[in-house]
Amino acid sequence: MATMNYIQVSPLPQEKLGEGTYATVYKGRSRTTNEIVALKEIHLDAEEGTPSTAIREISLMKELKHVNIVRLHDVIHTETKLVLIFEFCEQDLKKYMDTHGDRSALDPRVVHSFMRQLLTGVAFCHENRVLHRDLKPQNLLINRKGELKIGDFGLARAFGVPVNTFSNEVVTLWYRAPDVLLGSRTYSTSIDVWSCGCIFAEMISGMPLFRGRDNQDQLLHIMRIIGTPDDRTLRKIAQDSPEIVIKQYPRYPKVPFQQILPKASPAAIDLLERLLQFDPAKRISAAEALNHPYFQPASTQQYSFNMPPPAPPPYYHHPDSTQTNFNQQHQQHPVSYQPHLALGNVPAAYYQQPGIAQHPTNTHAQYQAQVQAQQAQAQAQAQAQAQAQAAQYGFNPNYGAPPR
Amino acid sequence: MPHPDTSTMVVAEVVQRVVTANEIVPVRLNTPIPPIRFAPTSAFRQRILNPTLPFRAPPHVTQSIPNISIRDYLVRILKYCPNTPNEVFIAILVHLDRMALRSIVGPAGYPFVPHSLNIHRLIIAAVSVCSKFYSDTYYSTARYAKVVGGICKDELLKHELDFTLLTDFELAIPSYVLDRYALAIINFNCNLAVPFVN
Repeated sequence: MATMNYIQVSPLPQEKLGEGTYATVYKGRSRTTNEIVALKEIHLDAEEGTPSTAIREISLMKELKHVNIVRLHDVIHTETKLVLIFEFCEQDLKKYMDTHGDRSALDPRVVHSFMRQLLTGVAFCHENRVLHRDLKPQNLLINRKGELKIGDFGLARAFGVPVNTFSNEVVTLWYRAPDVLLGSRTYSTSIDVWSCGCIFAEMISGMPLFRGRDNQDQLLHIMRIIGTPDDRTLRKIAQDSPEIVIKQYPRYPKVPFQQILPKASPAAIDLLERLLQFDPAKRISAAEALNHPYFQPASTQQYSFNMPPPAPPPYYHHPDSTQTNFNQQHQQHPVSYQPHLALGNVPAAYYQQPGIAQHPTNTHAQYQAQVQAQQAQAQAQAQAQAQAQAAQYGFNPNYGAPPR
Repeated sequence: MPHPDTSTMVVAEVVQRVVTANEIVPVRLNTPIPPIRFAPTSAFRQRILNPTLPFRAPPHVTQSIPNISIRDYLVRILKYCPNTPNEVFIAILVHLDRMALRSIVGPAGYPFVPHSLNIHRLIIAAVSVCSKFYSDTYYSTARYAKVVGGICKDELLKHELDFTLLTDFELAIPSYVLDRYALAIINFNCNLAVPFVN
């Protein structure tokens, strides 16, 4: 049956990929395609049945199909458990930083690539009306091609319909936004953006930016770095979400990020500044962040002109594939997107090359002429049909019967 | 007791019509199995091959039509679980329509049909699963089963699982669809066509 389509590769308990409160993850292999997959086993509780985390994870991830989001291939149900078949990723970001980083701090080019992928994935979620609500390095998976994929949608939820049943017990403490720490229940996409900012800083420095012990302590940690907001800002936040109770906080001045992250480029500092805004209304959105100068190649200030081209994906050295192997695979499948060869810009000589398919129309004018000819033909056909009908019925049925 | 919302009453009315319509039009048992057009999960395919009927009392209990109308049943749910969000009730209609549109072939080989024998269990399972999906705080399965639904907890757990499998985990409803249903409920009049009668 269906369960037999996948077999577990790591049956020993010490070979588990991970263990959560409600699920265990094993490495597996598909019998039909030989593809390596991750098997997430969810035990159906005798008290609460299917956990709400599983319900949300399955129903939301089924819809979200994107390169930067872990793909859910299938769901299998057996007597006592549900098995989710996920695309396999070698490591999470936390482990990647520990093994590949310089004291966990990543190379600026790697940070750039990961940050772009993270924000692309988050923007896709938000566009599809899904809040992730638990972004942290442990939930971001890296595969051997250096692709970053967002995983673990157990706390996620669809937003779209405004309701006041949001919980403020969301997101791991160190990545929790200040408005949530203040008790907001009407938060939106901005809480994921805050987590992205925290992850960005962590990738640059190798250390989590705000490491609080509890809710209050976390808030103070945040204020010590980005400064205590003035009363007007606090009042405005309280006005936006009335369930917040504002207390008196010690006045901390703002510490410039350049001082905390001396290695970061000015563009990176500016982006971080916009991601880590205390006021959720002022925080940049994930889609806007992708248009920030940090991601524009021309003004990427970490490179001088004689340096090699920026941001190659970081390759993960897997024991059973060598770097040369990987490069060969990529030479066989070169990137097909060639904007300089777009319609109209193609030199005629390009089509003379052997192995290049003849483009049917290589100028815009020819294409337009073809479209116009088609339209004229369709019009003539319609006219002929109307005339034939008029001859048959004595009037044109398209315009109704003639008045008596 | 909270005053029952008009929208809930309309939901009850529409579900009642669906059930009545299904009882007037006899189900043809030898309908050919329509092809499944979407990409179902293995769990879904396995469930529809399994011969047990969903949302029915266990075999040792005599089947009988519950003594409570759908309208009173929804009022009861609202009475004992007042924090159930409104979209949960709208979602019941959406899921009934989706099951019909997809022509889900039920366990015994013919399309799954909601009728008086299974509709109460279907509703309580739908409310329980949908509140898990829509709301961060929800009532325990035991409460839904014993206090509200009048069935035993293990049965409700089975129905919940059946509901998730038969909807193929497609619990997310785009907000424009919810809006459209909400609008239809607001504009509800007696001539509303019930999409189940052909």
